[in-house]
Amino acid sequence: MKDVHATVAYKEFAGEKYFRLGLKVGWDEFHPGQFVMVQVPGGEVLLRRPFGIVKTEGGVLEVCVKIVGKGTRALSQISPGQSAQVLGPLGRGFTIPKDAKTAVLIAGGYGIAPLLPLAHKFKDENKKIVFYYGAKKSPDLLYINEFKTMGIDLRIATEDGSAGEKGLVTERAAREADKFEGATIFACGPEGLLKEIAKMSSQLKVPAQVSLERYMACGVGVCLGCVVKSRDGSYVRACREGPVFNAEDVEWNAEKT
Amino acid sequence: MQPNLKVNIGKLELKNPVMVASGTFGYGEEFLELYDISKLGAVVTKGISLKPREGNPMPRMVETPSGLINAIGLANVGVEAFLKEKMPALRKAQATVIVNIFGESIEEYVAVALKLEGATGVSALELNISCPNVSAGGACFGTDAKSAEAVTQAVRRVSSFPLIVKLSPQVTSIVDIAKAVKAAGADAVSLINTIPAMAIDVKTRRPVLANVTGGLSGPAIKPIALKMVYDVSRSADIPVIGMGGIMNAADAIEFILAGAFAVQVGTANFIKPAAALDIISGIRSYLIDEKVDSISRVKLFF
Repeated sequence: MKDVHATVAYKEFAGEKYFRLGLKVGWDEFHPGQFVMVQVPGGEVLLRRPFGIVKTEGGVLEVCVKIVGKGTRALSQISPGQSAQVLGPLGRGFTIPKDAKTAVLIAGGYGIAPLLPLAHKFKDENKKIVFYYGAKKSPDLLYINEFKTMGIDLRIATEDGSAGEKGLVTERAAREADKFEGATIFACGPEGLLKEIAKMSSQLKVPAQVSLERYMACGVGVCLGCVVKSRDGSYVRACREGPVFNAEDVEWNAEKT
Repeated sequence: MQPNLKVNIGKLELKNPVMVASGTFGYGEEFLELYDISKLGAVVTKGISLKPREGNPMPRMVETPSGLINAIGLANVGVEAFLKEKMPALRKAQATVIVNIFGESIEEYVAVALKLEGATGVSALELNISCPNVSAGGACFGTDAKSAEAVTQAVRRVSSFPLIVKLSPQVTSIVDIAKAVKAAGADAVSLINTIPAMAIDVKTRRPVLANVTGGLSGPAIKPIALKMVYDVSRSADIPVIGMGGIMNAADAIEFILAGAFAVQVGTANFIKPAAALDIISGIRSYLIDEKVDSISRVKLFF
């Protein structure tokens, strides 16, 4: 974990409300599922914002930002050459089980961010990947070209039917779930999607690791503002014990959808 | 020549006047990977109670203009686990440790203080009588001079550690509370705790925080905190530790000029983990620039 004064290497808009931000942090090593806290320049907001690491290459880190509020809107105004403090890599990422032959990756919207490096890792280890990717509409599907060049089995669903199958990605996955035996599910997306996956995981007895999104103040485990209720009733920190959890360890009824 | 940053607060000697505030630094362990926490004036731990506490439901935090409202609810591991699992790392890091304690009753404050009595590596206790986010105890003791005096006196009787009492801003006269805890044997007061506040989501028409209300911290509260530190420093004969929205060295120096012996950095730790270290070096540069040889000689002009 380092706090680095990073320069913006690039900013590229994707779809209407997303952009990819390249930040020169000077480090490459991270586990898929880990995140960084990025300072929002301009002084309009106080706290840094958490983003999953999409990739690192030659000391440049990429995050994918969805413009949802004041902070992300202010961040969208940043230009190449400007700088921001970047703290990371943070949190506990995905755990890759040694015996898993098949990885079922399920992403909703920009939940794709932490799953892209995971897909690369599986690809490098010659493991079989089935990738379900869902979004509201076709322009919200991000990193599609990356997946195409990776040559993995990509199964798309959009709610308006503008790409892939019409409907929810969880419905598509559930229909094809009989082939998941012996696999592990890795998922990131809206809480409703993750809740469905937790259900699927317990019904099929297929383990699932899910990456949860939380508002965060510190990102390092001291503010206790990002906690997740676990099955045993205790609160655990999304930033430290997470953001990736075993689906069965989360008390989903305490989670808002 | 390097200026002298050492400060004495009663029996408590600190290598510099910059501490990190309770609830913004965990038990120190999270920061060990980032820097040497022995360089801090002191680490004030997360508030410790007799039994472990899970804290409030989510959402617990919301950012507001120039501030942050939290309703964590004093989640902590409890005094026994603190001593067994958290103190060793703090000792190893050679940090100056001030343990923040609280209870729902006077008996509970006393019980926590007794468990901590004589603990190696602990330099002082900070009595939290001012948390706005719990239903029992907490702020109740801090908003009434008699209760504040009673709880301070009870802990004073059983503890040999220097005693700092952390005051609530939610009172008519903070000076009166400071005088009361001084009379009861407190060595210092720290102020201010967060200011009761809330935020509402107009789309859902619900309060943002599950606890409905929380405590506001950050730059938004700094001018209020500064005035209270100024008032208590002038009118109550007790050392003051100032806090409330300190983000940089200039903010910290304002508090020292207002009369504070030392300061605590809180919300800034969330924004920049090394904020307190930056503030220490900023104070040092200020003293050099102003040609003042010691922090204790920085005084306000009228």
